[in-house]
Amino acid sequence: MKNLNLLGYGLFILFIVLIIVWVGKICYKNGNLFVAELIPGHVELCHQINKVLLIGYYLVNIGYCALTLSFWEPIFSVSVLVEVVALKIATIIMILSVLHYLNIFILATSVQKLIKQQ
Amino acid sequence: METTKILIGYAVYVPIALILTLYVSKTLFRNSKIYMLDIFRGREEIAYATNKLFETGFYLLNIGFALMILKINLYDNNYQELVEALSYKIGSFSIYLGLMLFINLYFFFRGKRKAKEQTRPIPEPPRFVA
Repeated sequence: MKNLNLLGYGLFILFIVLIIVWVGKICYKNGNLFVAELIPGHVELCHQINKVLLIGYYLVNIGYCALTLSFWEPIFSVSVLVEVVALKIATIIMILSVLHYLNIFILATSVQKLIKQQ
Repeated sequence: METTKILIGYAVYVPIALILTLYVSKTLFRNSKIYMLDIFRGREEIAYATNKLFETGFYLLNIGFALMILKINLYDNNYQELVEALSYKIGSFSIYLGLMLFINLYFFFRGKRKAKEQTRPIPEPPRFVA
C-alpha cells in the first residue's frame, strides 16, 4: 500500500501556514493600538516593536509546526490521513488560541489604567 | 472500498462545523460592538480592535475543537450508523458552541457592569453647615 505521509505533510504545512499568517496579520493590525499605549509619546518606536513581535511570532509558530512533522505515525489510508491532519491542525490551533486569550487578558489588565483614566 | 462511508462522514461534518462556527461568531460579534463601545466609553478604535481580537480567539478555539473531535468510528460501515455518528458529533458540537456563546455573553455583561461601576461618582460624605 502506498504511504500517504508526504501528502499529509503538504496539506498540513499549507493549512497551518495560512492560519498562522492570517491570525498574525489580524493581531498585528489590531494590536498596534494596544502596543502604542505601552510607551506613550513614541508611536513610531511602538510600531517597530510590534513588527518585531510579529516576526518573532511567525518564527516560533512555523518553526514549531515544522518540528512536529518528525513525530507523525505512518499513514496508509485516506481516512487516517484526514484524521491525523485534522488532529495535528487542531492541536496547533488550540495552542494558538490559548496564547491568544492569554495575550488579550494581559493586555486587558495592563490597559485597565488606560480605560480608567478616561 | 471499506472506508468510503467514513470519508463521506468527514466531508459532511467539516463544512457543517465550519459554517456553524462562522455563523455563530458573525452573529455574536456583530452584536457585541455595542457592548464593547459601552465598555470602552465610546472610544471606537479600541473597542473595535478588542472586538476583532475576541472574534479571532473565538474562531481559533471553536475550529480547533471541531477538528479535534473529528474522528469517526463505524463498526458495521452502513449508512444508519453513519447518520447516527454524524448527528451525535454535530449535536455535541453545537451544544459546545452554545456554551461558548453564553460564556462570551457573560463576559460582555460583566465588562459592562464593571464599566458602569467605575462611572458612578463616589458619594460625598454629608457635611454639617453651621
